[in-house]
Amino acid sequence: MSEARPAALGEASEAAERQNQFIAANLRRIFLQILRIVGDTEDAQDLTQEVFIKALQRSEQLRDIEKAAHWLSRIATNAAIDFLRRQGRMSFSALDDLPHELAVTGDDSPEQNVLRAEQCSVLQGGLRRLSQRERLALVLRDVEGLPAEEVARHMNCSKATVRSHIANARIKFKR
Amino acid sequence: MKHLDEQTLALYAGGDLGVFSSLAVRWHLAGCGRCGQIVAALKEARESLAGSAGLLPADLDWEAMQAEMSANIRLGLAAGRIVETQPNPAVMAGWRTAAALASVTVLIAGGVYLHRPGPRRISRETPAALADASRGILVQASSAGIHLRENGRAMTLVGLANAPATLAVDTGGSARARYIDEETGEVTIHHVYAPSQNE
Repeated sequence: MSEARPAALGEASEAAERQNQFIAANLRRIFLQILRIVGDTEDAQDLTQEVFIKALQRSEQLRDIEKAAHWLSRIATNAAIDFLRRQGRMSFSALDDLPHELAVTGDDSPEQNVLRAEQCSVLQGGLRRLSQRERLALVLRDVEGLPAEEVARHMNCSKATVRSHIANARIKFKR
Repeated sequence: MKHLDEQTLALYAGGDLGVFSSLAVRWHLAGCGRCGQIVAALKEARESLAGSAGLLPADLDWEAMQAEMSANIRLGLAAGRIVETQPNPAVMAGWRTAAALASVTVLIAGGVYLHRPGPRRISRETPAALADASRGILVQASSAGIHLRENGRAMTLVGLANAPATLAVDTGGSARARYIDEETGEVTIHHVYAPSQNE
């Protein structure tokens, strides 16, 4: 008994440490992934927390870190799209409100900041030209890297429709 | 020279064309500078989108948000563990109610028992009978229920299935069966009085 208890405490501590590492390694990526889909910082924050809690409650999934990160991305995408459906807006309209400038850290040089600001401006300007469904298709395909079949499944439409959305979105985004 | 439509080029730029269509586009691009420039622009836009997408909004205090989210996640996980280890409140409430009901029933039954003529026999899960031969009345209690027979006529108050019964008869002319539902703890008492001589 006296030996079993410290052993159990050690395992719990190790599991907690694994969870913390998993959170630290994936939090920013998942937050941004959700933010790109839902378009609102507070919604993205809430959904990110929900996604991590849901994922970490099934700790057996964390054994393979690489698979777990991929699995987490899928949960995040589904959660974000479900959220839009629940809100009755399969929409990216809130993305228009995203700031044009980029986060600046103390380590960035002025040149880097300018470059990143330009990149963000391009991103926002390009996304504004797209319809809601074109935006979703483009983000899922070209940012999340999902295959067209999976994008179609997420958007509840045919692969041909998704290809059309993706093509139109790329053309408009390029201009 | 006839140029390819921009939709086809856009799909080609992202690798979304089939094998044969891709080969056809590649063949065309080998001899068409204009379409080649469009494909290059599409690929560049695609790369810039992917590259910019990882950038945080400028007005976001990521350090603070990261700390807040991490704390909330840990809190949510801890709350989940507590909920998992707590017994189901509905079940707890059910057992508490059942225990309270059972206690009250025992008190009431005890009071009734003390204020009635003493039973001659109390048995559990065994048939019990009271006969009044002079009037042809028979009151019988068994785990199946309470049976009343008089001059060839009979009726049965059927007992509760799958509920253990405590049976009692007394010389005052009544039979009693007490059932306890094993799942809910609910107590049901059937008490049948034989008609008195005045009735």
